[in-house]
Amino acid sequence: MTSTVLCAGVVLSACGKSDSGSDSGKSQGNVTVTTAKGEVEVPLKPAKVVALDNTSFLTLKAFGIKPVAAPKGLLPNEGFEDWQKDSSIKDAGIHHEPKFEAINATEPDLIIGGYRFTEHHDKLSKIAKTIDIAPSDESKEGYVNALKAQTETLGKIFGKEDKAKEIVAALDKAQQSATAATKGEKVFLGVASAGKIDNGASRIGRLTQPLNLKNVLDAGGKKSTSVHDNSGLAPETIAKLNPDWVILLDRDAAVGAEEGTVAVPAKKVVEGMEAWDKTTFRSKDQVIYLDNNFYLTEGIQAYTEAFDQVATAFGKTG
Amino acid sequence: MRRRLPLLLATLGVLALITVSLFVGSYDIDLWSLFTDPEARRMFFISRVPRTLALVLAAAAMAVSGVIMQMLVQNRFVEPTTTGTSEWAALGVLLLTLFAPAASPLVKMGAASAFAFAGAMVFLFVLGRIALKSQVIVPIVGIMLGALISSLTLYIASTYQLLQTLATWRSGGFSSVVRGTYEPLWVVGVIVIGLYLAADRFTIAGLGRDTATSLGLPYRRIMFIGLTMVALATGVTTVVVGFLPFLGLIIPNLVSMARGDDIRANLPWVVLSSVALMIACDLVGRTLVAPLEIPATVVLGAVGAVVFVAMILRQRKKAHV
Repeated sequence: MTSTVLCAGVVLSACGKSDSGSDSGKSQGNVTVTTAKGEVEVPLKPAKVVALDNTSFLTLKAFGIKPVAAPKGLLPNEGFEDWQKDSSIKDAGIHHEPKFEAINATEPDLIIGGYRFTEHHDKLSKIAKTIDIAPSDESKEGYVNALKAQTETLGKIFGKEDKAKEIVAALDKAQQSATAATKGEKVFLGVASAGKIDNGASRIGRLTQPLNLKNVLDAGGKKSTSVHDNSGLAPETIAKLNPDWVILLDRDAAVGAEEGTVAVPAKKVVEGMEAWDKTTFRSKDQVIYLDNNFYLTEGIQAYTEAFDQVATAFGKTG
Repeated sequence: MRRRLPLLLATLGVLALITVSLFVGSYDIDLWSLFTDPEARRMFFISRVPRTLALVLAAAAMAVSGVIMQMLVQNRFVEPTTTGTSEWAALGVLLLTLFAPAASPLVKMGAASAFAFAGAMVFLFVLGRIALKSQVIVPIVGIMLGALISSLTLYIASTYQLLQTLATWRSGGFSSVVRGTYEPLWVVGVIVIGLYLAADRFTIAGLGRDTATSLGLPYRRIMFIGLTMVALATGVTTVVVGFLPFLGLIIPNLVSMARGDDIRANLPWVVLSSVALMIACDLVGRTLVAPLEIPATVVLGAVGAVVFVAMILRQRKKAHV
């Protein structure tokens, strides 16, 4: 009875449509999940989901879930053409300027916020139940383990625990082989942007945390290097530190290129750098370029792929 | 000869700073290894020499731009970052990054310079409509105009997810300067020489349109040439090393305060002092958080802002007396 009243009060049209399916929709009950803001009760198998946290996109896709709204400007260039073109998925704006009206108009049952949208949590909460289950560097078990927790939570919400387990297992496997393949080599973590290469430790240091690698800019156990992350780094400094390996995130590749044009690829920058001619990583060709979309995916699948890349690349050199 | 002595000493001082700049950095290079270790010598010419040259040329570019603008607008507080000119150049580069990310640096500089020129014209147009032309109002109008353009740039950048890219090259500084990246700055060297040759004309133009015209100066043409020089210098510098705030403002003013307004005689002093300040800022940025760096532009911005405010306060005090 109450549910009918509520239903009528909320949206007549939606109720009319899903009258017969209302059992499989909202009234399936709730499930309690752990979020960044503590234990939260959310609807089980919510029908209308707004997906804002870009690290969750691929997992949602793997679950066969189509959101009612997503930040289209944050969708990776590849693999999300269907979401991009689908007019039934409303554009939620991007984190600098969310389209709250558009999100509100979709009358969502659940909003997956967090990550880039963390600061908008309170406003989003006024629209619908909003959860922040995004991985963060502050997570107790580290970013990578937080990715697993996020996937499991999503599995619990959407009743796809088995699929979630599969995804987590793939990460575990990739991580184990990457850990086994790395033997304390010196690595430089770089971010390529605007044709320059800067220290990317704060962005992709998460990747090497569980691995047996030594960040050349982390010498002396000082954490301070990440503070001046994007301040600048002279190419001669890298030449001097002479890392065995370089792992590079190409930011421009993820966002800069319009259709039909290509930004200066990180590979070109690296190979054109005269100052690096005599370094170990250049002479042995030991540079790993993360997937172009890594900057925009950053989810469990992106890390699985990156660990696979590391395992393969390091495995080759034995 | 005695009158030349201070200039000679200043030149020696700047040469000393240049030498320091050549020998500071992460890679081990000292005088000994320079002659004995071919790898050190190689790195010296790949990294240290280009960086130092870039510092010298960029500093000269901004200082000279400041001098020209101050004469043309007849206001002590204008220079590319207080007239919005730099912001326009940045907008030009951003638009090009958006529509033709693979464009060659030369095309980028062309776009930046064209936008800088347009920006300078807009500034002059707005200035022509303002009744109150106090020394202080003019740069404030320029800064407001710059903020407007800058917010447009930010809006476009955030829409197309280019904020990080924008931040990277705007505050780029000199850390990534190596052989192959700084060469366009040589254009600026040509501009400095051009200004030296045309210095007297700019001094006359600085007396105002009516006076200049009655003295037989083709005022409009000088104005056009001057703005073109500023646009080129600003455009090229913005693309290669980003914004260099306040440099073109504080140095010419300090030199004028000490020596009067003869451009031709002041020019060597303006260039030398700018180079000295720029290198000093870069050295601070290079050593403070080594092996990483604070961009020289950030250090310069901090120093420049303080001097700028001090100058405005001084100006106001004078006006009240």
